[in-house]
Amino acid sequence: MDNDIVSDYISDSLEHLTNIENDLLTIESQGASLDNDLINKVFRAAHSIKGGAGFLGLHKIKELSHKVENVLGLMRTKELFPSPEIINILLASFDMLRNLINHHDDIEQINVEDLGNALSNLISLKAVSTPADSSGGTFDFKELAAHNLSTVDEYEVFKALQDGHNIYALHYDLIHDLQEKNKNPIKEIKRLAETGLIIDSYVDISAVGSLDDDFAKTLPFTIAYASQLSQEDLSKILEIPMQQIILISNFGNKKIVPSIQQTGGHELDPEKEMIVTPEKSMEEIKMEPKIGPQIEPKVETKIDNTEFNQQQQTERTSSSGVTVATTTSPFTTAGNINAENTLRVNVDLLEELMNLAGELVLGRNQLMNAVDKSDMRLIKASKQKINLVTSELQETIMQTRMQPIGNLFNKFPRVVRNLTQGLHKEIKLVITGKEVDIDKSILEGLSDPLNHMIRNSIDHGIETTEVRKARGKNPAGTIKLNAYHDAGQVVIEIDDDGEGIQTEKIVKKALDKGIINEEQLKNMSFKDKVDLIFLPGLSTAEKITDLSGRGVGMDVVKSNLDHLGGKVEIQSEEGIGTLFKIKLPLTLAIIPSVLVSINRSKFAIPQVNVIELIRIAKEQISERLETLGDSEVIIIREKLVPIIRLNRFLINESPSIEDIAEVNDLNVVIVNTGVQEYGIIVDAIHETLEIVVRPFGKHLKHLKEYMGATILGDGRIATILDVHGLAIKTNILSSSGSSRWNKQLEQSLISTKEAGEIPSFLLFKNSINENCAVNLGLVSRILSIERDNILNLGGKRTVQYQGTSIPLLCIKDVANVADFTPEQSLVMIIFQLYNKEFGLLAARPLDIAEISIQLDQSVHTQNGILGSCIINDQTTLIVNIFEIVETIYPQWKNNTLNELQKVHQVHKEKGGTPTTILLVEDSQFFREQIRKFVEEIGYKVVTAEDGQDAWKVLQDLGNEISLVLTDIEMPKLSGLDLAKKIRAEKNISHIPIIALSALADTADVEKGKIAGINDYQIKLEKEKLLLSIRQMLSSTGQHQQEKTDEQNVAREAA
Amino acid sequence: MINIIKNDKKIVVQVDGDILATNVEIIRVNFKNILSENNFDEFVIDLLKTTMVDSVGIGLLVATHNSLEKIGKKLLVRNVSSELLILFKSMRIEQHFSISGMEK
Repeated sequence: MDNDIVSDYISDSLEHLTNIENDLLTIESQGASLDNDLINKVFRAAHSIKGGAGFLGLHKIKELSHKVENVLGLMRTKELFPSPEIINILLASFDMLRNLINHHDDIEQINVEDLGNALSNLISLKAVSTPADSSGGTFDFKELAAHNLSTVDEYEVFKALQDGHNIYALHYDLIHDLQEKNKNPIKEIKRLAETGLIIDSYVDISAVGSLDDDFAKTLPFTIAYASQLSQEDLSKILEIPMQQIILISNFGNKKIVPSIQQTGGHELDPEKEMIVTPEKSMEEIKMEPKIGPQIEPKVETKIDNTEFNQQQQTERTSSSGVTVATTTSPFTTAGNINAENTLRVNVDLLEELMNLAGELVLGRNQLMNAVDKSDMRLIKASKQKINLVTSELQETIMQTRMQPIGNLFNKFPRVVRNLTQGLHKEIKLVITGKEVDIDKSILEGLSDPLNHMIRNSIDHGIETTEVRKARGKNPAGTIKLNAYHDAGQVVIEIDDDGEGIQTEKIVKKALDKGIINEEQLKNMSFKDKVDLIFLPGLSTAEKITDLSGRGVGMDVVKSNLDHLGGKVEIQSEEGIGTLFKIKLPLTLAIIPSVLVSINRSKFAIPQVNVIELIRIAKEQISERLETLGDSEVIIIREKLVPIIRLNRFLINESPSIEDIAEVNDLNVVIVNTGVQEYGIIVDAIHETLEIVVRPFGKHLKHLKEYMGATILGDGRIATILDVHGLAIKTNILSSSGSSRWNKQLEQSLISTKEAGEIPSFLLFKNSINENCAVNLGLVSRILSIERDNILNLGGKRTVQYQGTSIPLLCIKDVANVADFTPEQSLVMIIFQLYNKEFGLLAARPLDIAEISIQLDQSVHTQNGILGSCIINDQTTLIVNIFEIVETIYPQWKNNTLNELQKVHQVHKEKGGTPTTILLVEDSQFFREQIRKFVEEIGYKVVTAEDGQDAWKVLQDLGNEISLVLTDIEMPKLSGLDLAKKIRAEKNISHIPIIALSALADTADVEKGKIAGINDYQIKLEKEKLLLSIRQMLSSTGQHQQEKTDEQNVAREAA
Repeated sequence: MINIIKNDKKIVVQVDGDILATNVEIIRVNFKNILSENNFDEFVIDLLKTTMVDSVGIGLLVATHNSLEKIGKKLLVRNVSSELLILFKSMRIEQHFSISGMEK
């Protein structure tokens, strides 16, 4: 047989069979409102297949398709209703046809008998296949055959039956019955035709003998005859004895051996069965329900047993114009001419390929010319052209391999339908994302895993209708099959609203089988337990059905997906449902990437993961690079991004001196794993390049931080980083892939940065449940004390210590706080304020915290308490030690004030303009504190939140400001820069500037002096600060003015 | 009653009239003789002039076929009238030997 013709027939037929499944399912769902066009389409398919098969001598195919045609014809004339049973048979028939076509070489081996019978029976069913009733009688052709009537046309028989006829076998002997009765055969036949239908006939010619013998003694002639008449009537009309009229079954009526009376005295012929039936009219013909179940089990088992149910053809023209017929049949052998090795390509795509090929040729010619001439400019030009064309060519060819995932998804409606039959479950399959394109090889590899997971959803996931109703769920379960692109990957979701993964069951099974032990179980999170289903040998089905239960399942799925470079995630909630998420790379082969290097080693990072490239100048490194615990982060646009140093991780060299000193600018590649962004510090960033991914061999496959390697243009090898794997290895992601970075950490760091310095606080307890904090800078020392040491004299508490009496204050003295309990271990925190030393009673434990506080003044503020904030996850009261002391010993303050005032000689009452000090401090806490005690002395304070703000104030109030108190570390405009600005501005350049800071080493002071700062003071060292203010003001002659005022006053008084 | 025309290896028997029980015997004898000579390849019965065939007649035709078969020869019946054709078809006679209708 000519191979071309055969393969043409095969591909044509297979194309006809495209979408037959879905068409049949649509026909099924249309039911009574049948779409004739659809039936015609399917009919035409069967018809063409039949035609070609006949021509090629493929008889089985021809016969099967002929029967299918018949059935379809009946459906077309509405004589057959597309019930599920019938559709099942048709589906099986088309499957079989496909199989026969694909294995036309081995066609003899394939048994189509059962299917053929089923189809034949179907044709008999048409009389009874109504929406309400799918029962009917069965016709025994074997009986007819027993009368030598084996060439009868079934169609005719059933047509007759439907019309209410009985089928008889009439036995004539032409000699006896006709000749001797002077009847003419021609006339007799005519008469027969008038009273019924001759369906078939048979003459036993051997009984006639030859010319020699005494021939023509007998001429046996049997007719398969359809008539509405009863046996009796026929006998009368045809004038032949009733024994010779044999009723061939009539819809399940039992055969009755007639009694003597009914036969009218004739001897019963033991060889012939006598059937006597009462006269029946058409209405009385009962239909027995035997047929339904009879046919189904026969065909159903056939369907179940055949693997071809699972063998699916996928064929459809994708958006890029490629139609591929693929099959996953296990029978494919090399010698088979089947469709798997062919590809259908849209002509437009071919055109494009032709064009590109042409362009490439031009480019090559150009290059050849240029090289011959050694003309660098021309060489560069052709390099450009060839580069461009090659990329386009590669992309276009890739497109021929891309298929819409719908090709794979399309087979699932049928799978779901088949699997749910007989399961008492109602399942709706919703498919979205059919147009998502995916590489052909990945598509093929996905088929089995998806199949398995859908089966899982149906078998384990969705509950039976009763259970669902009992749980208040929609009786019909839904499985959503969805595909979409995300971050350079294809994501496929199988989402069911079933009962979720029963972790209890899984854990129990795993324990039983010894896969895990109790110890491990304790440490397992919910997610870990869910992930147990990926272990081989685990199955929670109670019994092994055809569908599931063999425990060879999800582990195979996982390894299949691993091969494709994909990952699978499970999200499940008991009672709610389960979501399987499969992530696959878009393509296996060629990807654009960014080349980076560490020393001389080159690495490639897939461009799809790269978000941005950043360079941090070495001067800015200290600002933008932070250490958080054991990790490093950089700050990008007010966001924290964890980073890793590629050299330290991959090459495992000990950090060089250069690293530590940060001599160079930092090159950072910011990448995205899909879950988390992070940065990779590299030595250098090179170009972007399209590279061919070569996966590692099995010896290196376990290195999750790589996805393979590639060969560069110069022949060297660059390894390709897997950003997800790298993140896990460097602890940026936890081993289950979730981010370690939490908001709190970020917040605290950012707010610290904003605040400038990080103030230190001494943490202590008041009563057991009260956490308190006080600015560490104010603390002089801490002493442990015993309760016995505390003396209470005249309402004032003191403690004896080394020969002196130290006043002891309690927060409780001024504020509404709780008492100390007897078991608390007490300490005395000693402060020095207003030239006096005193202690604050506190309890252990003590701690120090270096954080910037966000003061909440709404809840806990009272006398002695500034407010509250959260330190180390606990609500902590910020103690205002000044208030406490001033409340208990007001005279201290007053004395000091008086003295200070004397020193400062600020006479407010005299009506002179109070000296105005500009306080620039970004921390609210410090700003308030400082403002308070400066105002107390009598100065007027104007505040600003940062350098810029301060500058504005200076513009507005320049002349009125006598002194500037400024913080150094501030956003927008730092203290140093502010100082420089002031000094540069003529009318305010004389104003003394005192810097408030925590930084006070000589280098900083030097810097400050250069900027124009007159003095450095520690923020909360009140007296020193005030002294400095005094000094500054006097030296600028401010004080002179006051002296003049004084003198004037004195003169007036005098 | 019958005309026997021999044409090289082909024998054509033209039946003049009906084949009924009454004249079957003569025809039978004639046929038997021809067959016993067995110097032909084809045996054709031409029923151009035949309108009626009764059961015995049919028997004759069948018997002729049977005898011819014994000597490995085939029977052809041609120029069958339409009525007779209906009969023969109903009896599926053409499954056994070749029947053809009137040549126009």
